[in-house]
Amino acid sequence: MSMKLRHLALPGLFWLFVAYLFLPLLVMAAMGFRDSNFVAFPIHSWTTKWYSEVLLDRDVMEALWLSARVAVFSTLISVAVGLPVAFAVARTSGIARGLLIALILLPAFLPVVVSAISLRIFIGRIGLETGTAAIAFGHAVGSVPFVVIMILTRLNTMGRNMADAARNLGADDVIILVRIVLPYLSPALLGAFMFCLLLSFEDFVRSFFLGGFEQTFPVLLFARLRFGFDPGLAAISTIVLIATTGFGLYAERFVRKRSLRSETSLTSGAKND
Amino acid sequence: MTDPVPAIEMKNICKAYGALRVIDDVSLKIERGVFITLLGPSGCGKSTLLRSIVGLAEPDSGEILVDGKDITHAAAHNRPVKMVFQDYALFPHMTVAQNIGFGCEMQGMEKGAIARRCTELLELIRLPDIANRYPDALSGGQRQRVALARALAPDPAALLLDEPLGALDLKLRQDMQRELKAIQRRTGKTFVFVTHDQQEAMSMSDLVAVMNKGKIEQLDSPENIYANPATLFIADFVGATNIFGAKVEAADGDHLMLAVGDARWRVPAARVTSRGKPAMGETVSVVIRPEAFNIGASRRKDDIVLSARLTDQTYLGDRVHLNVETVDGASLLVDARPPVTARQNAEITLHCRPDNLAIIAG
Repeated sequence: MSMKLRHLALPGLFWLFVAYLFLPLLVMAAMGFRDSNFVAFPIHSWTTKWYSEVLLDRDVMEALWLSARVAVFSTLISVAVGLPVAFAVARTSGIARGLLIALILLPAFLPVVVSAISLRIFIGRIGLETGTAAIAFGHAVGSVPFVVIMILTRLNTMGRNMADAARNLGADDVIILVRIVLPYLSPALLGAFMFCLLLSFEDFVRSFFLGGFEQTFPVLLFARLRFGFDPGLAAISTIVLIATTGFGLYAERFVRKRSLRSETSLTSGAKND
Repeated sequence: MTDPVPAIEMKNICKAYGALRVIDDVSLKIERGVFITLLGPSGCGKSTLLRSIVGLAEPDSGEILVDGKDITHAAAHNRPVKMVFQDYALFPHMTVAQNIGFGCEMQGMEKGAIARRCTELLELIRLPDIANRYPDALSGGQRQRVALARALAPDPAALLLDEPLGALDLKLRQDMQRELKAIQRRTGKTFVFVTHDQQEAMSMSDLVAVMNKGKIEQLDSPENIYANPATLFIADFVGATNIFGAKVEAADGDHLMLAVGDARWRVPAARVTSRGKPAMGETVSVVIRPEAFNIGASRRKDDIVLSARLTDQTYLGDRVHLNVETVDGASLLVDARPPVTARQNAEITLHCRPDNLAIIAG
C-alpha cells in the first residue's frame, strides 16, 4: 500500500502543479463568456458578447498596434546592437571575456523598476521625450543581453575552420559574413528575434515609466483594471494569451528545426561508413 | 620529365610566436604532380607551414611561390592553392552540391558549368547520388570525400591536406589512404599532406619531409627515410628502432671500427647516413631496425653478433615481436618470422648484416 502511494506521489505532485498553472487561465477564458458585468462564479448564462466587443474596441486595438510597433522597433535595435557585440566578445578570451559578458548581462539582472526609473531620468537628460521611441529604446536595453548570449552560444559551436575554409575557397570578409556566418547563426538570430518580440510585448514596467500619452497593451490593461475587473478584460487577456502562446510554440519549433541541421553535422563528426 | 617550374616553392620561411620559432628557415621545392607529406610530431611547425601557403598564417620572413608566382603577400582568398581541413569544415547549411560548387562560384563560374564540375567531382569521389544531401546526412568517410571534392573543384594549383584522416577509425583510414592516393594519380594534382602518423606518410607519399622543431630534417623517398635516416630524431620517430651508442675507434679506407660496449663492430663507412661524417674518437649512434636481426648463429664472418636473453614475445601470425635484453642490460626489439622456438628467459644469439644498419654522427 505504501509502495503504491510512493509511486503515485510524484506524478500526483506534477499534475497538481499543472493544475495550479493552468486552472487560473481556464477560469479566465471562461469568464470572458459570462453574461454579466461582473467577474464571479457560478456562470449562469453564457455570451460571446465580450469577445466580439474586444475586437471592436478602438482603444484595445490601438494599444495592441502600439505594442506591436514597439516590439518590432525594439527588437530591430536589440539585434542590431547585440550581433556586433557578440562578434566582439567572441574574439576575446580569458578574464576579459568573463568581464565583458558580466557587463553585458548586467541589465538582465537589474531589477526592472530600477532600470525603468534610471532610464526615465536618463531620457530626460538627453532630451528624448517619453513615448514610442523611448519605450522601444527601453525595451532594447532589457533585450540586448539575451540577444548577445543567444548569438554567442551559437557562435561558440561554429568550427573555427569554417570561415577559413570559405576564405580559402575565395570568399572575402563580406561574403563570409553573408554566406557563411549569418546563415549559420540564423537559428539563434530567429530565436533572438522571437524572444525579443515577446519580451517587449509583455513588458509593463518600462512601458509604464517611459510611455507618453499612448498606452501599450499591458499598460492599457492595468489602466482598465482600476475601473474594475469586467469579463471584457478576461476576454482580451484570453485572446492575447492564445496569440502569444501560438506564436511562441511556432517560433520554438521553427528554431529547433533549423538549428538541428547545422548542429548534428558538427557533433557527429566521427560517424563512420 | 618534371616541370622546371615547381608547383610550390618556399624560400627561407620563418615564423615565431614570441620566443618560440615555429618555422625556422624552411626552404622547400615541390615539383608538380608529386604527393609529398610533411611528417612530424605535433608542434613541429608542419600545420603552420601549410597554413602559410594558403595565407591563413603569415610568415615573418621568406617567400612563397606558386607556379613561379610570388604569393607571399597575396590575400588568403586570392590564392590558387586549396586546402582540406582536419574537421572538414563543410558548410552545414549548404547541400553537398553547394559545398562543392562554392569555390567555383567564388571564381565567377556560371551556373551550368558549376553543376557540370560538381557532377564530375562526385563521380571522382564515387558518390554520384549525394548532391542534394546536407553534410549532417553523410558518414565521416563521405564527408571526408566531399571536403576533398570541394577543394579540388576550383582546379587548384596544389591541394593541401591538414591531417584529414585523423577523425576516421583505423579501417576507414586505411581505405581512405588508398582512395586519396588513387585520386591524386587520376587528377595528377600536387598533394601536400600533413600528418604525424608515420605509417600514413610512408604508405601514400612519393616524398616525405620529416619536420622537427620548425626545421625540415630530411626530404626523401619513404624508403630512404626509413633505411637511411639523416638524424637520430628521424630514426626514432619513423618506425620501431634499436639505437646503440658507439665510439669510432678506427677507420680503414671504406670501413669504420666501432666500439659498442665491449664489442667491436666493423661497418661500412657508406652506412653513415647523417649529413656530417664522424671523426675519429667521436660518439655515434648505430640504428638497427627490428627486422634487420636474425636469430641464431651467423654463418658469415663479418656479421654483427649479439647474445641476449629473451624477455617477452608477442605472436602476430606472420611475425613474432621479441623483446630481448643484451648482456649490457639494454632492451632490444626484434621482429622475427615464425616459428620462434626459444622460450622465455632463454639465451639466444642475434646477428645482423653490417649493411643493414645506419650510423648517425653527432
